[in-house]
Amino acid sequence: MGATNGNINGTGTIRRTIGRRIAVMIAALAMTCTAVFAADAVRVIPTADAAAKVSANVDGGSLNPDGDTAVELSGSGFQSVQGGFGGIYVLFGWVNDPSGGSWRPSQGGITGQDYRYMPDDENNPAGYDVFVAFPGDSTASAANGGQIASDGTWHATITVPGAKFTSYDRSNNPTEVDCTAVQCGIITIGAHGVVNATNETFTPLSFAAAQQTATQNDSGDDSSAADAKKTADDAAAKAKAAAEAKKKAAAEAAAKKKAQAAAAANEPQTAAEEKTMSTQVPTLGIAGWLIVAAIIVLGIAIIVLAAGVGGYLAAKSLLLGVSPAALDKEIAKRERKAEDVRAREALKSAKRKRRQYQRLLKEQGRADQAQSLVEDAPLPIPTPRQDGGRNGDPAAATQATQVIPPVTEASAGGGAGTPAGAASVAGTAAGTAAGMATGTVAGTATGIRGFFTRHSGGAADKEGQQ
Amino acid sequence: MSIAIQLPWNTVHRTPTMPNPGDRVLELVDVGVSIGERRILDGVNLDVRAGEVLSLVGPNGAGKSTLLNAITGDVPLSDGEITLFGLPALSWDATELAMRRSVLLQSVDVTFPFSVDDIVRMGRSPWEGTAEEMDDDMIVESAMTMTEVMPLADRVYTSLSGGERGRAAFSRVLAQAAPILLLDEPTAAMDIKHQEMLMRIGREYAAAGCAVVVIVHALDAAAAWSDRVALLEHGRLRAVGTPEEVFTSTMLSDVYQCPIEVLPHPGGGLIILPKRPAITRHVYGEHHGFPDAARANLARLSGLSGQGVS
Repeated sequence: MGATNGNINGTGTIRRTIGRRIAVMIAALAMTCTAVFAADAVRVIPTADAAAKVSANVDGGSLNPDGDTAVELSGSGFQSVQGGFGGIYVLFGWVNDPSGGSWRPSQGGITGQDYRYMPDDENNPAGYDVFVAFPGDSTASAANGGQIASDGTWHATITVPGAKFTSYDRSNNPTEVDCTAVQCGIITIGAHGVVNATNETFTPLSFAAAQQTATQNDSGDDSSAADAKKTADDAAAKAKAAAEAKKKAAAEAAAKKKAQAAAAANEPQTAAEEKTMSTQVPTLGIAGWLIVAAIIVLGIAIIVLAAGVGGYLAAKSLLLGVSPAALDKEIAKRERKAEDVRAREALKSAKRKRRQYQRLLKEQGRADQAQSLVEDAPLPIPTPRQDGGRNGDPAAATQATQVIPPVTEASAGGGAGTPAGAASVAGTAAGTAAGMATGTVAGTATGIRGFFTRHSGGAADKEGQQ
Repeated sequence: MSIAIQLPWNTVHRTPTMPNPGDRVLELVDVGVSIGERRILDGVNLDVRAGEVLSLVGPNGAGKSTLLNAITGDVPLSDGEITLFGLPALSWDATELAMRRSVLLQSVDVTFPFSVDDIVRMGRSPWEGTAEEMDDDMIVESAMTMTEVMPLADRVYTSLSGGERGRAAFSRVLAQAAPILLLDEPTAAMDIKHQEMLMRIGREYAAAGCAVVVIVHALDAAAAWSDRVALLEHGRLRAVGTPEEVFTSTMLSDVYQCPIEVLPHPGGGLIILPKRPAITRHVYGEHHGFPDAARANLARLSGLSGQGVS
């Protein structure tokens, strides 16, 4: 009972653990569902102002096309999510569709293609890119632009690098952007890859100074045209050098930024998920990947094994179909197996018969003993054993032959002797068992064996005569 | 129902059942053998029955040995089928085949210096692990006594003469105790006494319920000792039947391309002689007759022959 109880308990615990697992799975499912709903809810939250706005105050009145210019920015009408993940990136760059808004990440805009911005060196930021965090954001420490106040306003200073810069797309391919040719401005987008349509703005800024210098140059002294040209060339060369240097720095910066962004995405992952409930690509740990790899390997192994077994069976059946010799061999193999089984069964049945017979003998002996006790009560010593043996001996011999038809010489010789019948019977049974195990050898033996026995004796006699 | 897993090195061999006299133990149906371009055997139909001595006779190159090799499986058949104990010869494994037929080839070469006793004992190897193994000593002793190799038992096989080797090899084949005995010219190197001894043993072996197939060149021995003879010519079976049916003067003369006379023996059986011209002798050397010695020898010989016939 205890064992069965234990069993039941065992299955119970198994069931319980399975149940727990299922519960966990359901919970996980529910969590993802709520996460999705929550994300929707976040999007639906109405903002304080109808639209986000950024006003810029250019330091010195105009943007310097050849060097850094600090621009004070203040935003309003932005969505501020208390404890939300990220915030906004404030960038200087170009968008392909300022009025339509198809550049917006929320509309499917892609960096490097639909909008391009001046990258910054994250290790040694020059202030080209500004991160304004949500209040309570886990990455707020990295925010160089402060926080978005709960009323949706923020203040930050961005450095505009000049009229020409190199932007990088997601594949790190560089693209030159010339803000004297295209309309650049201040871009705000959701930070850390969290798309936020409310916080996507573009505020155009023009390089008035560049136009001025250009006009100045244009309307400058004609007498020093050559000089002017020279200075222009110099300026161009300088600009080129500067651009190259920047390019280099920017490339490094982009690479580093990418790495850091990746790191940032990994580290606060769980916290971020809980806080913002935003949907992110689930990353598996090492164990997870190992499990996935194991599953793949197992699957391949099963497929290969199945193909191998199937191929073997197909080849075999084909061979058996094609070659009658192979079929014969297969049939012979099966016959051999069947014969082996038959031999085993014969051995088993012989053993069983022997046991039966022994039991019978014992019971007979007991009955005889009882009878002799009753009948020959006055006799002093009944010697039941000998009596039983004498009484049972002919019967035993006949029964032995009845039970096991082929009586071997050993049993025939042993049967005549006085020792207990059981022993001789055991001998008989063993003999027959051996005979049966080797098939119908007994028949073969008599013919050929007789031939040999006759000759071994006869020849010996003949030699003796000679 | 128990499932027995068989290991390849531990297979069960089907032991043979002793055939009844007249049972078809070996059957050849339309057997053909080609070696290269040459057709050695063509459309041979033959059945070998238990309890019978069947002699294969025919001129040189008629395909007698090839037929025997085809039966043993040493030569692949190009067509036809050979059935052993009712099953295709291919369905038996080597040990099972060895339990069923023993083969004496024309020449038995042994590379290593085994003693004759060892050689004869090798004949018992198929029965290893069966109940028959119990009889090994008796059978080996009996086989050696029968073939009169007992005195050679401790000698090294390679030191024996051709006839002695023949007897030792025959003794080994006998010790195999298989229901089919296949002998390829067993009497080739033997003297007349041992030739007769061997054929007598073959007959007794057949009488014990086995089938004996023997290739012989001596037509009179074939006629005297065999129940049936099969006459081969150019790879085809010319005739099969009792010696009286097959060995006619015309048939033998035709097959052997040589005039042969067949006469009935007054004591039963056949006398087969090539037709020979009476020659005139030219005697130049010494010639002595020893009449008394010859008479004594004759008396001894008659005693021996009486023993042989018994």
